[in-house]
Amino acid sequence: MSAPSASARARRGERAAERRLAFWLLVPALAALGLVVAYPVASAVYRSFFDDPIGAEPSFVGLANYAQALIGHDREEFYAALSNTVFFTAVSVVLETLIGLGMALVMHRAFRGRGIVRAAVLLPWALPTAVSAVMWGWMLQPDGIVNALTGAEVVWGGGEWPAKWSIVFAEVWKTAPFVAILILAGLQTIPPHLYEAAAMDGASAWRRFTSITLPLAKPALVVAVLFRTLDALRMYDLPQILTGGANDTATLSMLVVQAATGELKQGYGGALSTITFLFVFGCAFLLIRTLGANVFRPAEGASR
Amino acid sequence: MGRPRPPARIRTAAAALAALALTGAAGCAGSLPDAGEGAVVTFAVTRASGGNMAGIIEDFNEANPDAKVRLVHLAADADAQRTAMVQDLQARTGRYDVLYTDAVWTAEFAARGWLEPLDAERFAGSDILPAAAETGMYRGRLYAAPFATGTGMLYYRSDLVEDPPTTWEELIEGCPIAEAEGMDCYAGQLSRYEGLTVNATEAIASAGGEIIDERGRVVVDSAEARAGLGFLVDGLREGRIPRAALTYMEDESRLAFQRGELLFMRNWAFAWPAMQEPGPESEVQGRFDAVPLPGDGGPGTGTLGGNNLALSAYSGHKEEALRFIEYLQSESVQRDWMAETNTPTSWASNYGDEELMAGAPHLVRQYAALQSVQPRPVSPRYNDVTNAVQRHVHAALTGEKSVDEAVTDLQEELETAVEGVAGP
Repeated sequence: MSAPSASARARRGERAAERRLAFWLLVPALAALGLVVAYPVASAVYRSFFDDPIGAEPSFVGLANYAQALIGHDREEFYAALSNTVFFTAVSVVLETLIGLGMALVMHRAFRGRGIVRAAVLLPWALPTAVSAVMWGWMLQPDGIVNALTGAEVVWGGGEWPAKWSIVFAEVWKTAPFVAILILAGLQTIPPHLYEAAAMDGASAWRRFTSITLPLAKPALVVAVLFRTLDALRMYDLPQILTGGANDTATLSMLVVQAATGELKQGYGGALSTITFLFVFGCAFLLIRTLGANVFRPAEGASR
Repeated sequence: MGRPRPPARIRTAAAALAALALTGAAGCAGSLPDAGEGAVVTFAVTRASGGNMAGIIEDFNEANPDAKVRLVHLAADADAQRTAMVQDLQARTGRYDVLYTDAVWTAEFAARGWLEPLDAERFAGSDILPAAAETGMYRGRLYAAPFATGTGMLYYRSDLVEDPPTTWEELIEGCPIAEAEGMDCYAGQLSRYEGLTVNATEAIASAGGEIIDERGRVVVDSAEARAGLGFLVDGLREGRIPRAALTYMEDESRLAFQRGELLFMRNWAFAWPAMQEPGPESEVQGRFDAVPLPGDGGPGTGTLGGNNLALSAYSGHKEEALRFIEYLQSESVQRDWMAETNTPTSWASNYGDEELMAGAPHLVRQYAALQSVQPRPVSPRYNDVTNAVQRHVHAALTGEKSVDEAVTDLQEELETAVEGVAGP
């Protein structure tokens, strides 16, 4: 790291110029985001205050669409989808993180064929979700390979818990590699001399793991958990293709799509999507607050 | 660490990039690849329609140089087709003139004012099977010219069953044969998808019930509907229907039957040629037959599948489009279509064509089955209706709810769903 050669004032001027450039470089992305994100979100929220008649103009109904989902005659469906979404997210994120951490620790070790293992581990993540959903659908058929290998006779699509667990399996199988790669990146930033020093001091392997590996890999872990949680809360394609929402496996996103594009109710669908948006937003806020305030604010003076 | 100030041209480039992104986004709005050579009528049809659609259009274009038709292929998946059509119709662009619609979309598209009413004499006259014609009607008017049609049949193993059942009681009496052969007795399509609505509607109709009546009222809360649903639920509980059937769609049930695992199966006409095909895939060639569906204490009632030809209300070439619909619906085109696709269509007299029928025994069976049918529930809110039917029926089938609860809940939910659109 070279020492700063210019005076403080020159540096400030430089920074301002860099900021201006950064602003102009960001403009295209912001404009595109405004067009494809801000406008649809705003129009969905606006539309959610109107009803969905057939053969007439929509009329303003205030919060009636929200009431229909939260306390009205669709509440059963809504709360079922909400609890499914939370269940899938909680269970699969916990499993993914544990399995991903294990995979990352294995991949972090130096051994022959490590490159191949890393590539192989990434394969499930590289598959489009729709493809892996179809694949799992075939494997989980009553006469599919899963039943054949385990000798079980489970009709995976024939009951609530088999169906829910099959979604969790497929989700964990697909996304644990993603978590593993993120954590692996964190592990690789840990300087090896810390381990060497700890070993000299006689720290056990477990002690080294809990006192060096975990704290130093935490930023990567937190990012992985955050990404996966937000992703899982929006889960749509996997359950849609695997179960179609049968056996009480519908998620919030599936309800939104069913209402907005299936039943052509932009008002009610808009209300559902706004609720979903607020829910995911709230979860993200809570997670960032509790887990990783320091992840997004690197400490001042860090040499970078 | 100091970096040199970025040169001015980089900043200019950034601004130019921004401008480019904006114009690029705006530029793609109006330029869709719509330039068919001199075509005036656009026909939107699923790529999975089967048949020689391109050849039919070529023949039509040759004879009608002033009304040339261009084919636009939509997705194979019915929901995706509907979404594509709905987007065009909602935008009122009239980009699609003629729509290859599913039988159950007629009510919704018509109620939203998206379809041009058609002359019933011209497009659903006495030459057309009455059952097929009904799928093009909404509130007494014709909105879609009937084309492809079809209903469910009961396939049975003719090597094991001498007299095919005409009632559920007879079907149940045949089940010991399946047991003796180590097979399952009966299966339909009980996965939670559109096919479940079909199977549930048929079961309810075969017991004399209805989900929504002619006047648009919800009437599913009835003893008949309970009996109909009970046939499926008891079948699963008592083992006549394998639990695997809860995951069956058309192909899964056909594969189970052709592997020799089922004695009876409810399926469409398409299954016949597939199961008859020589090869190791099927173990039942020449050992099965099909009859109209059985019912509760008497003959049953099938429901109708199929596709119709509708004219967009926003079409700018209605006269030409109608000529094309008439051509596509005509006897000879339908005849070739039946011969090529092996699937039933709407022109009645083709079923009397001995040469055609000699090569397609399943179409003879279809014709018999098409005499006793009832459409799926007709409602402009069809998607709400079918979602509700699927949810409550599947819950009853898996044992999550009793038949009684499922029927009561379904009645209540459907009443809310069709509220404000009931009755002509």
